[in-house]
Amino acid sequence: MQNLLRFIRMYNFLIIFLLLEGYSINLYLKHNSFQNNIILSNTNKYTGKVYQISNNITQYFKLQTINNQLLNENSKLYNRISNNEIKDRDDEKKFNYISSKIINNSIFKRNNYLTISKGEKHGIKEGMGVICENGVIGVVHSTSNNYSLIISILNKKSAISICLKKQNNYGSLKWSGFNYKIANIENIPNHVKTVIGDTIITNGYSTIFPAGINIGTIKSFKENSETGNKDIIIDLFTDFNQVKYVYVVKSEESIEQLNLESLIHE
Amino acid sequence: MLPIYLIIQIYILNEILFASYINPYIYLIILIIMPYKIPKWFLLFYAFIIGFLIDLFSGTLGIHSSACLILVLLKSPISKITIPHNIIEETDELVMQKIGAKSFILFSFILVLIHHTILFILEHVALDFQILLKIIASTIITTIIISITQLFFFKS
Repeated sequence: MQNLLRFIRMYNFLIIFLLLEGYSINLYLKHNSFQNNIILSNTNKYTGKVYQISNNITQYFKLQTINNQLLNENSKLYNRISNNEIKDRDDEKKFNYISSKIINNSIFKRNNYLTISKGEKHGIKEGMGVICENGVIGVVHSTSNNYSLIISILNKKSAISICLKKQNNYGSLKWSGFNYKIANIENIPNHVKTVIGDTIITNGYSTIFPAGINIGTIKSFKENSETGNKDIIIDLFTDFNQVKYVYVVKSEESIEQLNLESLIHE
Repeated sequence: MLPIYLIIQIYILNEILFASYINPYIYLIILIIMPYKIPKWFLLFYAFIIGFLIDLFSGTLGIHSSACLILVLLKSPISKITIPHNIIEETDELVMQKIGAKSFILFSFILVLIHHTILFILEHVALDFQILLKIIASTIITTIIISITQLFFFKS
């Protein structure tokens, strides 16, 4: 005890310096988004390699569940072919899919990110949407040559535009933190009829996701007279704890749409 | 004196970007002239608070405060090298009229250089020729401005 006190007395200058400097760096990293972006995408380059190695080992233990997921997906695809669902319709946007493996994933933080094992080399760019066979995962935040960082929908920054499958009303999806199985829906007005169990899907307006990707079902809702919008809580279809493989959505016509729409702002 | 320098910094100098490279920070003078006698832990908190205030007003939380803290950390070793011994009392402020023009300019130049190097690297998250130029040009201008303010107090 006496030694400890002597130690503190001897080095109090250095200890206070380290505490205050640490706090400053913490402020710096939290509040400066430009610098933060550069640092994140730089570290992504190196941490991606480390996660890849650890993932190569751990994936053997999950082969069983992965096989099941792939089987399910296969069967779904067979069904769609037999129902002639896949048609080349001229008036719908065309999307291509790049499949990839998740090599790092977080679900318990306030702002969650995923890392996947494909990057610029494979044609992934910032701002592309990411889905899995059950539902929506998130949006690509930044890419390095071989890896990409994805803002999952379990993040304060993410807001995905959605619509109700039955009523066709548009709203946006937000995550309030804490539980990775539920999320909130905003901007659905009070007068819209909702039923518990209704499906929420992506709307086709954005260039990020194709229309009609499942997101979740309504778990509970409450009218809010202050905002005029309903507070809706949904169960997400995607189990972020289990998901292993994702598809990055690549729309060749999206640039054309964005260019056309940017004329309005000029 | 503290509020005057902060107001000059926030309202005048923060708005100025000479020749798109030079961004002087006069408020450093508050930390540079602190006498030897002030306890070091107080100096650290003081530097943090000043840096934090400047950060608040320029919208760059954490950048100035970490640069100021490192300035204070390195202040006493650098003062030992640049300021002649036995020339001042412990309670004297390290102003130009006490320690002489030559050693004051050298002393403040080194401290300002350290501060600006950390500041601009944190701000741009890069280190290339342009940023080196910005660091050196700003350091020279800040040192000149600090020396000029010292002249005001020469006779009083």
